Amino acid sequence: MQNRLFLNYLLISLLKERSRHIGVVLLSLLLIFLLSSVLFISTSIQTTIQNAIKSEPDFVIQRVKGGLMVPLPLSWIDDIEDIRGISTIQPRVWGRYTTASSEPETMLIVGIDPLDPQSNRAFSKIMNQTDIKSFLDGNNMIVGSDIAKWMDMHYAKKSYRFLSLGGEFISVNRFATLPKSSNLISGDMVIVPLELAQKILNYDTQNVTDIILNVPNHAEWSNLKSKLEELHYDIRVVSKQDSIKAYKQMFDYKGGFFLALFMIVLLAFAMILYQRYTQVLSTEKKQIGILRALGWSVQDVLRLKMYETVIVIIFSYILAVTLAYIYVFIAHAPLLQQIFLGTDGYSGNTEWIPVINLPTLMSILLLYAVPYFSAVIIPVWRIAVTDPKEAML
Amino acid sequence: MNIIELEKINKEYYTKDGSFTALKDITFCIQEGECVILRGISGSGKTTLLSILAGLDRPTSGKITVDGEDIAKLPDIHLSHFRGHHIGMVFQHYNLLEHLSVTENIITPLIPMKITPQEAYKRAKEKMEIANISHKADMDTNRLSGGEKQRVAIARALIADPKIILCDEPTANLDRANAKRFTDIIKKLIDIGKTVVIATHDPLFWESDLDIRIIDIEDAKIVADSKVEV
Amino acid sequence: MRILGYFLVITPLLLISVLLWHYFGFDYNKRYSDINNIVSLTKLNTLSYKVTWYEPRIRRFESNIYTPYPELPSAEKLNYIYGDMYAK
Repeated sequence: MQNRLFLNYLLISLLKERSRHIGVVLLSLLLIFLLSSVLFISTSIQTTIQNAIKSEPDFVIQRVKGGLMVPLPLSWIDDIEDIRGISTIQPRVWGRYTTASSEPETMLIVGIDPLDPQSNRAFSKIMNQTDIKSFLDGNNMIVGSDIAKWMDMHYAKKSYRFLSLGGEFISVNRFATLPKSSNLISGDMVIVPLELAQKILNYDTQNVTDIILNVPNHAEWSNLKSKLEELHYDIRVVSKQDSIKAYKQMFDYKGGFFLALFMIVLLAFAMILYQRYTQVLSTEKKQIGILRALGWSVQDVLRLKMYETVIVIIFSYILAVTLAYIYVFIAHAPLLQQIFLGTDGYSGNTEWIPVINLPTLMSILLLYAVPYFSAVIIPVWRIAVTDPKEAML
Repeated sequence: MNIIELEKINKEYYTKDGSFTALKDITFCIQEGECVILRGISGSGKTTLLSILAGLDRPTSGKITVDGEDIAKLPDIHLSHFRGHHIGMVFQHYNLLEHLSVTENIITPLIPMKITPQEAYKRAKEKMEIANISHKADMDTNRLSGGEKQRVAIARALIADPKIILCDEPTANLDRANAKRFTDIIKKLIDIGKTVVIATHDPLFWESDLDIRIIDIEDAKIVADSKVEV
Repeated sequence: MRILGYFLVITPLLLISVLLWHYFGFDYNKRYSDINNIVSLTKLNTLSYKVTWYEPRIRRFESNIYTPYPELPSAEKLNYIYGDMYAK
């Protein structure tokens, strides 16, 4: 039965009856496009986060007073050192700095420890040079590409003057710019030596933002966490596991945001399908009756309609997903990006790392194809099995 | 040789208000190559009889043999196949697929059959010649006039080379000139050996020079069966 | 007729070119190692601060980003900065 004449006829009837399909196809295109764009972005972020987590420290120690995070004294390091099982302890100095201009830009100032071997290695990899010394000579900074762009626009091509809390200006030279490809993480970053960060963020030399720890024996993590929590009444201990758990939930499609999106899409599909269903009943009734009268069996009619529907479903699905891919990963998702990213100051331009999550794409296909297919085939079948004479009336 | 044999055909429709008899004890035979007019006013049951002959409807009781096959007992898939191969149908409202062109409409009955596209288009060309519609082969059917639509329907009825052509009120929607043209085509069909059954109450047929047999139907029964010779 | 014909032809072509781009047009290792290197240089996964603005759960335990903020400068200082900046 799947002869050339049948395929020929199938294509002709599909092409000539495009007005019957086009409304449903356009709406489905839009919905699948939106849904897969959102899923592409979220999987990309998730994968990037999962990947970045590998390089993260096992524990972060912070000080909380009155519900706010406050700087903690370096003396805490001595207390922590007494606990066994910890391989590295390092202070971190970082914080936000908002410029005082009519269009304020918020930067993330991060101090790096020049003596830390891991930092040294990473520095040479990013900068393609092994000499960290020239960076540490004098006030230098490495800026993220968004900040670099902002500074270029604000006449700070060579150096920028930060204003400390005490009213003192600190002029910092632009040493290098971070690669644009890592913009998702580094767009708003300003990397400076640790002491300079303390100066800009108004810390005295004995205070830091938080402390990080590495604990090689993972079995000890929970034990160590409780030991750390006993050290000070105002200590807060964040473990890597906590972060992983939170990140996982954050963009999971089971999360509230995705559930809401899925519900909306399902509702829209239901509406489209209802419209399609009633359309099948009214317009195709006569057509099916004619075909039956001309000697087509129920199977022949069903086969034609099934092939027609499958072609429409597959093509609109592929087109929508492909367009979503282009929109997100090649055009970098203008408009949608703002929904997914951004702290108060972050207005960066992010390049997402392409990730295709097949199971999710398949579930979208099923969500779309199964109801669509049944909304077409069931009424067609119902019409086809009745007397052809009746169908023609 | 009898190509159609009906024996005590009854057809009843069941409605909320009780049953309604559309055909009662219909018995007659049609010979191959004959042209038969089923004559009667609307509601007399002639269209019902025609749909039973076409296998579009099944009788409540009785036996109907078309081309040697007892079609009342055929399961749907075989009945569809039978319809496709043995019967050509011309409907009162033509029943064309409006979105398709003339040629595409004509080849539609061939789709379920295993035929190459070349063969199908060759046949369509032949039948269009017979039905005088070749000049509109590529036009969409929704742009045709009533007469042209009917000629498309005739070409479509002929496409599978059936022995029997059934026409339901073929001239009801045509002007005189087109109706006359239709009878000319019917003549051609009889000349090439087709059996034609026409349900109509248009006097044109018995006033024409066609060699016909008229079966009068009234109140679900056959009241007269006569041969008109020219 | 033509639009749908394009649709049937362009869709597979588009799909194939996107798949080619996905598998061959992109240096994933470079992207991931750039990001990882910045995390190991700064010991800070700043991505979390960018994606968490609608997710209070993360904020609750990760950090409070507002505290290490410098105080906003006075009007006098602002004038000074503006003057300084545009003088460059």
